[in-house]
This record gives sequence, C-alpha cells and structure tokens, in this order.
Amino acid sequence: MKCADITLRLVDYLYGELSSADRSAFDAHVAGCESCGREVGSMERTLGQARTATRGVLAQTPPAQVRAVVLAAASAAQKDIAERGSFWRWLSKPWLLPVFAAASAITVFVIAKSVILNPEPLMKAKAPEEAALLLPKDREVRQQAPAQSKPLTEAPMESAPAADEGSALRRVRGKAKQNSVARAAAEGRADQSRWAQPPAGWGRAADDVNERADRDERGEREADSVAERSLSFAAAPASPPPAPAPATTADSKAEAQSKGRNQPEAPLSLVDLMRKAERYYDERRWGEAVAVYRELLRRFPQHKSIAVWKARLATAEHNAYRR
Amino acid sequence: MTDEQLMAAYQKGDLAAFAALVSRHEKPLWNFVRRFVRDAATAEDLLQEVFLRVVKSAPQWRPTAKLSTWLYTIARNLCTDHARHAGGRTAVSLDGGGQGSGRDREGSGPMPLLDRIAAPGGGAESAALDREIAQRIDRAIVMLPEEQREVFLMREVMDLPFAEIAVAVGASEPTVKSRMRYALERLRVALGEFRDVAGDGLAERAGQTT
Repeated sequence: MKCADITLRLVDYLYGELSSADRSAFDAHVAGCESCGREVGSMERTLGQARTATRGVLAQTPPAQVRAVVLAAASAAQKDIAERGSFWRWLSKPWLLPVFAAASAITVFVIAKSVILNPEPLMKAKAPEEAALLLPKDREVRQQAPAQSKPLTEAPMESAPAADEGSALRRVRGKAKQNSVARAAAEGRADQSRWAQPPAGWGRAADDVNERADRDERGEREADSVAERSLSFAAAPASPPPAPAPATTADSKAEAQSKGRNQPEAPLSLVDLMRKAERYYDERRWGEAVAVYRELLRRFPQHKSIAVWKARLATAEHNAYRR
Repeated sequence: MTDEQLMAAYQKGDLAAFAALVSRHEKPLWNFVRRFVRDAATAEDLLQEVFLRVVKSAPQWRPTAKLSTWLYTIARNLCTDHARHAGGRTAVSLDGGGQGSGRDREGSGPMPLLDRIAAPGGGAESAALDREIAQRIDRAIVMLPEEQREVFLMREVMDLPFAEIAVAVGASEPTVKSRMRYALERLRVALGEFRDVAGDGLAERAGQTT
C-alpha cells in the first residue's frame, strides 16, 4: 500500500472493514511511514472522542410528548390496520377476482337500475357534498333542509354496510353525476391500486400509494368511536376541543345533531377536506393547513383519524406561528 | 424480538409491539434529527412525523428490508426536505381567529445542547474538559456539510452499517465512506483548535494532531 491508499482505506480501517490481507498491508505501511502513522493515530483519537461525546454527554432523551402523540395515533390506526390488512389480503387472492367482479357487476346493475327508474332526486341534489348521495335516508334529510349539509360521519352508515358495496356506489355515482367525473376518476385509480400487489413498505413511493389508498378509505369509513375513546389527547394541548361546533341557530342540540349544522356556505366533504389538509401540509402551507385541520377536528370529532389530525395540526400551528 | 417481528405483530394489531419499536428507536432517531435541524421544536415535529408515517404505512409494510433502514431513511428524508424548505420559506399570514400563540414553545428556540446538561460530579476538572470537548464536537457536527453530517450521524448515532447508509442516502458505499472521512477531518480540526486554546494538559488528552 501507498500513502494514498492509506487515506482511501482509512475509514475501512477505523471501522474494522478491511480484509485480513488488506489489514496486514495497511499496518505494514503505517508502521514504516511516519506521516501516515500520525494521520491514522489522530483520526483514531478524533473518532474516539466524537464517539464518546455523541454517545455520552451529548446523547439526549426525546421529549415524552412525541411518544404520547405517536402511540395515540398508532392506537387509533390499530383496529383499522387489523381489519384492512385481513380484508385486503383476503381480497387479493386471485381466485376471488371473478367472484368479486360478478358481485360488483350485479350491485352496479341493481343500483344503476334504481337510478334510471328514479333519477329525480339526483338532479335536485346540487350541493358539492358527496356523502352518500344515493342513500335514501340522506336524500330525505337533504330535501327537508337543502341548505344544510350533513357531515359524512353522521350519514346513515347502515345503508352502506360493506366497503365493496361502497366502492360500487362510488362508481355509479361517478357515472351518474356529471360534476364528479374527476373525483370518480381519482377514486377509480385508488380502486385499481388495491388490485395491484401492495408494494413493499419502502420509502416514499409506498408512502404515497398508501396515502392515496388511505385517503380514499378513510373517507368512506365509519368513525371508529371505540378506538377513539381509548385515546388520550393530552398530548395536543393547543388543538381545539373535539366538541361539536355550536349550532348557529337556537336549535336544540338533538335537532342540530340530527339535521347537521348550519353553515353559511356549503362546506367541503370529509374526503375533500382531508385531501386539502394533506396537500397543504405536504406543501408546507402551514396557515392553510391549520385552518383545514381545525375544520376537520371541529366537524368530524368522532373520526378515527383525529389523533393524526391533532398531531399534524400541532405541527402546522407550530410552523405557522413561528414565522 | 427483531424489529421486523415487532412490526409484523403491530400489523396484526398488537399495540405493545409498536410501543416497543418506538422505545427502541426514538432515542437514536431523536439524536439524529436533533443534530440535523437545530431547532428543538422542529426536531420534535420531525421525530413525531417519522413515527406517524410508520403508522400510516404499516398496512403496506413488507419485511423486504430492515425496518431500521426504512425508519432512518424516512427520518433522513424528512430532515433534508426540511433543510431544503427552511431557507426559502416566507412568513405565513395568519387568518383571523388565531388562538393565542398556538403551541407554546417558549424557551425552546435554538437550543445549545450542553447548556442543559449538568457537569457530572467527581473530578471537576476532567469533567469540565470532557464537557468542553463534547461542546466542541457538538458544534462541529452542526457545522458539517449536510451530506457529511448525515453520514456521520447515521454511523455514529444510529449505528447503521455503511452499506445501509448508502441505501438511505442514495449514494455508493465508497462515496459514503469518503464523506465519513471528510467529516472526521473536520471534527479533528475543531478539536485541534480547542487544543491550541486550552494548552498542554489538554494536548495529552486530545492527542497530537499536527
């Protein structure tokens, strides 16, 4: 070995990654070369001191709050993970594909038929609210109070008992509602991603796919009040309390809850709000993210993702107010 | 239990397994993130975000690679993204109804690490010396160019092998190793300056590094 090789292989030497032959050659050169000997010795001491410091006096314990927030979010997602994991694993079995395709075709046909035979209410529904427009109960509420919107979590979920039916509904809605073509396309993509083999949970690509599927999924699903009750939100002090927003009129509480809340303008749906929130958050538009996450927490206090929303709201608030 | 087994258990709904993963990795991750972004509050947010992303990605996770590499890759990407955005960000105007000051983080601005660490009892002089060296190293780490700092921290704080660091930072292993060497050379300079200031007693400890 020459002096240049010593420099090149120094890190290998320091971390014991030289082969035994290389190690012998390295040692032989260093023993006979004063300047390389000094160099190697001083680097060894530098690494030793840096290591002692970073693993000793400099090593810090993370703030306990992080753990609290993260475990709350994990707990909220826990049940979802178990359900979704087994459901999609089961769904992804190839022999089930034709069965599922037939089932959705039948569902689509039945629903499409009812839509064609009775298209009237659909035409009347103009609000951008996309929460289960085709569900009869919701339609009734809408007709009673057309200016009011109904948060998705309060939609009559017994009308959409299974996710597959829900996605069939969405597909039909996509065909039936001209103004939701783009959204339906987005949902179609998300649906396709489920048929594909789920990617390894690696890096950002998987994260993105996951978020897409997740967004789609969270929008359709029932609020998981059981998981939420087990959470402690002491970790997010500045977040608004998850109490329902007060109704602007003198309605009784029960009435407000059964009819939805009075809003000056037609508010965005849960799915749209969540997409918006994630977009602002990802684009670091903190002020806007704060507003959207606050709205989510205010309007959907029972949603199972509130632990994540609270954590992100805290982050966004911190970044927004810091500047 | 390996990280991968814990993650598989969490996928099946075992929350305790996830808590164990957090316990195992929060400290190295914190010490990585904390030295990558100087602001403690931001570091806290980023650490939180690392685990939130794991929670979100858990259903898709497959044991195709080491969990620790994935975890530290997320942390590293968050840190470098933050560094990239930190410069060119403009003030966000706060629309009305801002509730107080949001998350109250008074007193947690850029935090000189060692100010908060009490000097250990016992041999006061040598402890002070250790403290001084540590402080030098701490500052020098923060001053390292980003690509050297991440390699140094991944190797020394997170204890990742060079091969995994190479995967995480998207560079070849020899490149990663030469970044490590440059990092050590800079740290040596920082310690060398200190030796000149402090005189002989320290020279013995810090070593002759002409």
